[in-house]
Amino acid sequence: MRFTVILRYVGTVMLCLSAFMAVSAGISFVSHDDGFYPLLLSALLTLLLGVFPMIFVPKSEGITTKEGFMIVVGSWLVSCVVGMFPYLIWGGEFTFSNAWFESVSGFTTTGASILTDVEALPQGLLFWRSATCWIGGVGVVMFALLILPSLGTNKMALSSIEMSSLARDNYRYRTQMVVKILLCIYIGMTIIFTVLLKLAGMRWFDALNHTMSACATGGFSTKNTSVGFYDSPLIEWILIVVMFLSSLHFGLLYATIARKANNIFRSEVVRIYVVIITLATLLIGASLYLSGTYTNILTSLRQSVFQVVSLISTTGFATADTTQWTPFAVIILIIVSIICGCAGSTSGGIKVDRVLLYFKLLMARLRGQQHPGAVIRIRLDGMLQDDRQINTVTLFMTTYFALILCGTLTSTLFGMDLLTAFSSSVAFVGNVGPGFGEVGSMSNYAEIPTILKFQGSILMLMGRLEIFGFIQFLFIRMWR
Amino acid sequence: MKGLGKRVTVAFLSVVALLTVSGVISLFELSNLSADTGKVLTMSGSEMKVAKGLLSAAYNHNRAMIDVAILGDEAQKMACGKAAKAIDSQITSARKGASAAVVASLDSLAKVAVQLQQLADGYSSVVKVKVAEATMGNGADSLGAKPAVKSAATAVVEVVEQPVDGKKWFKENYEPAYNHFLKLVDHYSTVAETELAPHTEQLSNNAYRSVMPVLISLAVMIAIVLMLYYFLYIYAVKPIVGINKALSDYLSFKLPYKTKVTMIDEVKSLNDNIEHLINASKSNLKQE
Repeated sequence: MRFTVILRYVGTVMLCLSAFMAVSAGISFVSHDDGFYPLLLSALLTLLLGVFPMIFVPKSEGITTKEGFMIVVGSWLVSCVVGMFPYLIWGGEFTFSNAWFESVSGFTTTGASILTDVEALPQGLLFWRSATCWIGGVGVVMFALLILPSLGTNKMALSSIEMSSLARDNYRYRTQMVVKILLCIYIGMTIIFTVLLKLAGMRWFDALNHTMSACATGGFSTKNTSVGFYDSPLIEWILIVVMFLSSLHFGLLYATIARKANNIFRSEVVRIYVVIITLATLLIGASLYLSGTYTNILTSLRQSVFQVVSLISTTGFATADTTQWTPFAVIILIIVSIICGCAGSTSGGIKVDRVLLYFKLLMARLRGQQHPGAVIRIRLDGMLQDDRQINTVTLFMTTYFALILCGTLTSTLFGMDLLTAFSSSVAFVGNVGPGFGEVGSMSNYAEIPTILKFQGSILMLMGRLEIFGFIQFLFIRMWR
Repeated sequence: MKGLGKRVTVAFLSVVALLTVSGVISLFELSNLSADTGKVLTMSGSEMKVAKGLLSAAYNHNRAMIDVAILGDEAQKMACGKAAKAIDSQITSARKGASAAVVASLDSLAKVAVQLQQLADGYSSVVKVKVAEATMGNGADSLGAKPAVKSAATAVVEVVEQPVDGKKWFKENYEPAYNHFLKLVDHYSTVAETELAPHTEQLSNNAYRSVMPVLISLAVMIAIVLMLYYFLYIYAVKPIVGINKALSDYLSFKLPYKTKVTMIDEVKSLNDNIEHLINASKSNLKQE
């Protein structure tokens, strides 16, 4: 394994990050706030860290799978470290643990924040927060691949490592097309919905930040009360659409736009996803209306659909304090926070694909017991799933729940109540953002113990790297 | 980028540039810190000066009133007037650029100062009292001769001047107002100091921001230096050591000249040249 090559490619990712920091510094400069020097210095530091390996290490056309893996995981970890620099240098509420938590939360698109007063941040830092979400949404390495054409044939190796196998399935194109598709969909959505939000009444700056956060299903808002600040049904509906689209497979979105056969209307996974959202919305809406939380059924349904889509897409925007909702509504929201969006989107969580595959496996097992001699194949969106894929799904789900359990256990050890501990663990592993209890939709993670912030950041990274990616990194020496 | 020398130069220059930038930013934040510290000290100093002026003027007013009311020296009333003017002047100068809370506090002080001066102006050592003297109707004269006819009794009201108990007046009228004035001066000091709190917090932020860039730069510098060591070892030291060993083995034991290290630029050309020389030497030997 060539450490020099790994450093070079991680350095490439640093160059992208420094560009975004420079843009953020520019925003602070124009706004005449005190975020300029912290962001400028952070940009220069990150630029130096990125350029330095390039001074010595020549370009390498061939990288091994192990090297590619180290590049992907290393890029994520180093991104989170350099992402702290603007927060640490600016100060305010950002202690070391808070800056690390906020940085990890941004890049992993969790959107959990330690800030008690978001609006006190300078404009540049607010943009940087949203930018970390936007970059992390598609993946730090993928972002570098989008921006830098010079990576040559290594693009394919790196992109295939960062994207999960389920996500790769619906990209029925040559691998070279995949990066272009991501570019089109991601940036296109960002531009279109920024304009729409501006037309709906937001300022340009807020519209851009909210769109970047929504496309990445991150959840960082520029307001203390999140989207609830605007109290605008139009803005809420626009964001519902963005969050929903961002939680669908980007390959299917492209196919829909390009009028190809394998589009979202023909996808079994998307159909199930829509059914889950509809069912959850109706149940929660009815519960809220009948309990008197909202006296108008339409308001009840609107609030319900926003929160359901926000949590199932793992965005985490809020228009209401869901901790005040009925226990029935809270349970359903926790369930959708575990299931989450579709593979190949920017969402976290278990993914609808895996849940559907699991139930198909269950049905296949039942039928297998009924007809012992039968050969039962499992298909997902028309694609045959082999045993390896199915075993991976089962293992993933088991590990996922084990992580939530461990997170809950540790959190309660440090004094958290059960609802807060469980919901925060679900939020971290699924990269959702808000939990319930003390870390609800209108609260923050400022008051949780420092040790739990570090635990939370590890859970967020594990969730974003699809668990096994992170675990593999810890056992890299065993990889021969 | 080609040339080992160039690469090393660029690497060191970039480290120097980074140190310079972080130093400049730190200096900038330190100058902000210095300016804000000066501002806080000036504000605090002017507030203390005003409070001192008020207390001094109030003290003079009090002393003058003691002379007037208790010691009976009416001439000291002028001193009261002078002290009242001094209080008014302090309050007027303190109002400039003050916040709403401080101005409200100063308004209260001005009101009480007016009351004090009104008490001083209104004080007199004698007070005119109406006294009614009842007289008998027989009109008896001083020699005691009784008049022949008795007449009705009459009341005669006279206004006489009675001396005022200055001590009692001072204790009951002036002292409470004076003590109230002192409390208001204390309140003004508290309000003015509270106004400094955001500036003090800004000082704390400035101090943090002048130190943190240096610390972060230091951490990055350590990472860069470690990388520089690693790259120089991999691309310069290790290849040269490898070349040296391979050449020694060839010259001493006629082992084939082979190097298995990563090389760049001049080190690679050195290796190639040595290989070329060895091959040329082998060819010459064969021809011979």
